[in-house]
This record gives sequence, C-alpha cells and structure tokens, in this order.
Amino acid sequence: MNRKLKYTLIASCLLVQPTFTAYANKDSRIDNIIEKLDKVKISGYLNLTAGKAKKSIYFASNTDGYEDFSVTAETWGGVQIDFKATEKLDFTLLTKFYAESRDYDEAFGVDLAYLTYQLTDQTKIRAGILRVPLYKDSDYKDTGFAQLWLRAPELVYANNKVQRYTGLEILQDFYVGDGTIQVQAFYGQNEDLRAKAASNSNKNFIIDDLMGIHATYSINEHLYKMGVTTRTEPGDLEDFLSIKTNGKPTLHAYGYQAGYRQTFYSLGYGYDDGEWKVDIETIFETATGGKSDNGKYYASVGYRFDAITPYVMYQYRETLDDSKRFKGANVYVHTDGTEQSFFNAKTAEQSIISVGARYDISSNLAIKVQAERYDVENYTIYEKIQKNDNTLYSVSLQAVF
Amino acid sequence: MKKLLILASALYLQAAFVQAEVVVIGNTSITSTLSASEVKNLFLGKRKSLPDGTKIAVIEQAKDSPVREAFHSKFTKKTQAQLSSYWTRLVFTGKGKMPEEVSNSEEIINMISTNPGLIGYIDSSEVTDGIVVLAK
Repeated sequence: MNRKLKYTLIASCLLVQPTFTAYANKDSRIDNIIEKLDKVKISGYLNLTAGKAKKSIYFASNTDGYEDFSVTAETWGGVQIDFKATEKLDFTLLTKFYAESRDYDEAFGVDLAYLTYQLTDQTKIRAGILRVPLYKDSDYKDTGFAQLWLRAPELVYANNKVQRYTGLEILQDFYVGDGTIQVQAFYGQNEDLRAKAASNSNKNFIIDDLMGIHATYSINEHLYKMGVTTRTEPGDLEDFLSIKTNGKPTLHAYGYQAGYRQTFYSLGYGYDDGEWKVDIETIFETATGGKSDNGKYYASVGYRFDAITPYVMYQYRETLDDSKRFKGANVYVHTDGTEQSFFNAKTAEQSIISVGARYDISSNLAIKVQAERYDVENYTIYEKIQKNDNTLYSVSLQAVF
Repeated sequence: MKKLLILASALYLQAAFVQAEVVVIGNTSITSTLSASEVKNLFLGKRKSLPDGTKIAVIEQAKDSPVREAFHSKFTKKTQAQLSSYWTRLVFTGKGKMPEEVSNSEEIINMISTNPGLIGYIDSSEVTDGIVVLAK
C-alpha cells in the first residue's frame, strides 16, 4: 500500500511537470523524488464498530450511543506519516477521523504531531503534540487491531479526557540481562475541550503541569508496567455553575475538580507466549478537591486457536474516599457574601464482564465480536439511589496498513 | 502408477521443505553468535545492538514468505497477525519502526555481505561464503 502510494505520488509529480522539460533531466528528477519519498512512511488504522445495547441506559464510558443499533458511535480511523528528516531526526504526524463528531473532538483533525531526536540507541527525545501514556495500554487504546479485545477496558480507561499533550518527553532504555526497562518521563499541558464543552464560559481551559514517569520492564513473554501521572485541572468552580429556574445554583461534575490536582497510579502486567494472553492492571486515581478518588482494575485472559482467540475480561471500578468528600471542598461565594458548599455526594460501584473473540482474517485485518454485561450501583453518601444493568453486543472490523 | 509417483514426489519435496532450517545471518565481520532470546529481542525492536555494542538493524523477508513464517514461529513465537499487531503498537506510539522488508533471500544476502550493521534470516540451504550464521 505504502509502495503503491509512493508510485502514485511519483506518477502525479511527473504528470504535472511541463512536457517541454528536457528528457536528460528526467532520470535525475525521478531519482530525487524517489530518494525523498523513501524517507516517508505512511501507515494507518481503521476501527469499524457496530453495537446494540439491550436497554436505553448509559453504558460505561464510550458506548452511550448504543440504545439504538449504531455503526458510527465507535467508528474511527487514523493515518500516520513518518518523515525521516535526518539520520537522527524524524517528524511524525497522525491525523484522526471519527464517523460521528463530538462536542470535544472535531470529526477530522491532527491527533499527534511531534519531532523525535534519537540521542543514542537507547535514548530518544520527543517534542510536540504527544500521547499521554496514562495506563498500560493508554497510548494505543484507539488502535483496535493492536489489542486482543474489541475495545479497551472502558471502566479503567474512562478517565482519559487528556489523551494528548503539548510538551516534551524522554524515552530511555536500560538493558538488564535479556530484559529491557524503558523509562518514559514527560511534561506538558493541554487544552481541555471537554471542560470547555461543560462550562458556561468561553475561555480556554488549559490542563497544566501535566507530567509523569512510567517504567516498562519486558522480558521474554512477560511485561510489567508501573507509572504515575499528575495534572492540574483547569478552570474555577464558577465556570461550571448554572442557575436553575428556582434560583438555586447547581455544579457540573467538572466543577468539583476545577483548579485541583489529580494523580493517577497504575500497575500492570501482561503475558503473551503466542497462545495464552493475560493482562492485569490495577489503578488508583486520587484527587484533591471534591472529585472522588477511584480504584479500578481489570483482568483478562485469551487463548489462541490458530486464527481465533476467544477471551474473557472482568473490569471493576469504585469510588474510594466517600466519607472524606462529605466535608466538601467546593465553596461558592454569592454576590451578597453568603457561602454555599457543594458536596459531591455521589458514589458508585461498576463492573463489566465481557466475553469475546478475535478472528484474524489476514495479517492486517481482524473481525471481533464481544458481548458484555454492565452492572452499576450508584449511591449518595446517605442512600442507594440507583441500581441498574445493561448488556451490549458489538462487532468490529479492525485493520491496519 | 504415474499419479502415485507424482504424489510420492510431492510428499518427498514437502518433507524436504519442512526439514529445511531457518538461520539468522550476519556480515562476516561479526565474530560472536546469538542466543534465541537475543535474536527475539533484535527482531522485536527491543534491542538495537549486539551484546558487544555493535549497532544493528534487522531485515525481514516479505510478508508472504514461508521462511518468514518459519523464522517467527521459531524465534519470536508470533504469527504474522500477532506480529502485525505488535508492531502496530510500537508504530502508532512512536516507540518503534517496522524493520525493512526485502523480497527474497538473495537480496538479503547481498545487503548483509556488504553491510556489517545488518542481520537477517534465510533458509540454511541458501547460506553462502559472504555471510556467517549467527543463530539457528
């Protein structure tokens, strides 16, 4: 595909050349174009997913469009261009498109754009718009073909509103026996389009001091990853207030975290011997302010029978600091000087059990099916307010080139 | 009878093919051999140099090549789809680049015999004087 594209580009370039150009120069022009195009690599991915939920209730994080059969809620793709500028310097541009546009993401746009400088064989520095490696599989969670599952574990990867940042990153490999430890440290900031969509103001919301350090140790069939990422949430409480018709102010969920710091700790393990594939990860998200802390984990196991790999996965999430949040960290001062406290009283326990299978049609095309049951119990600090469940059936065609 | 002879010949050829061994090759300037896990690390992009520090790039055979399938079945324990999935993770996170692919063993031998920084793999029956076997 890449080669065909290059030839097409060469042909196009030649076609637009003036016909009166001397033939003697043609060979050198072709060589020149080929030399430049050899420095360019084009790759891409596509996720074409359809699903139907049993009930018309919100299902986990990404799948709330599935009360009716939908083929667009999770359909997207990306095209990446890698340009080798010099022996040590590369430029990468990843554009992404969605079948359905959303409030916080354009239907088509730049996902990542960065420069990579290879300092040594074991050290890379990157700068530009980069992916946040929040958890074990976060930095490729949208590239379905790279995963066993139809979709990455939603309960665990839900708090991913910051998928990219503008900043600087260093990747350092350490060789230990037959294994490799890769340390990834980064610092930057990013505009928070979801906060902007939720707010009542037109200002820009910048997530600041976004930084983290992650270490991945891979040896033979085993992979261990641990990491910590922290960020300061944008805006002020007032940006997320709205006044009801009875005059009482209400606070959007983003208001509880506005101006406060969130920290994400993750510890993951993966095993892949070509037949068995096991993934386990546990995560703690801590937040100052009124936003809840979360504990999450998932465990998954799959076994490969030739081109078919059936798998099961269990995910769980619960809020952790329910009693602490009762004290209330979010206070709004009215114009008359009176104070009003907001309490994020909502707590939750959620779980998803999934059963699915991946069938590799070819080396770059897979079809996946997945059925999953979602259970949720929502409480306030005082009482249970909701218990619900849902079932989602999905099928997805996932490809790379 | 003729059909039986053809069938027997086909089975013999198939058996001969199955018995052929894939070997990892390098330039004659490389003096050490490689363990199976070192080969795996190099061909999965986890290492970019030999244990003695020599900088190395790997060359893959074409995707539909039986030698490629035999090599990965033996050393990385991955099918072509699993390999593609593995590299997808690295390419789209910018953490790795897919190795160069060439169309046949002859091309690999030519490249490696003139470049001390390359390693590849071929069928053992194709080994020539200008290269050395690093692992089998």
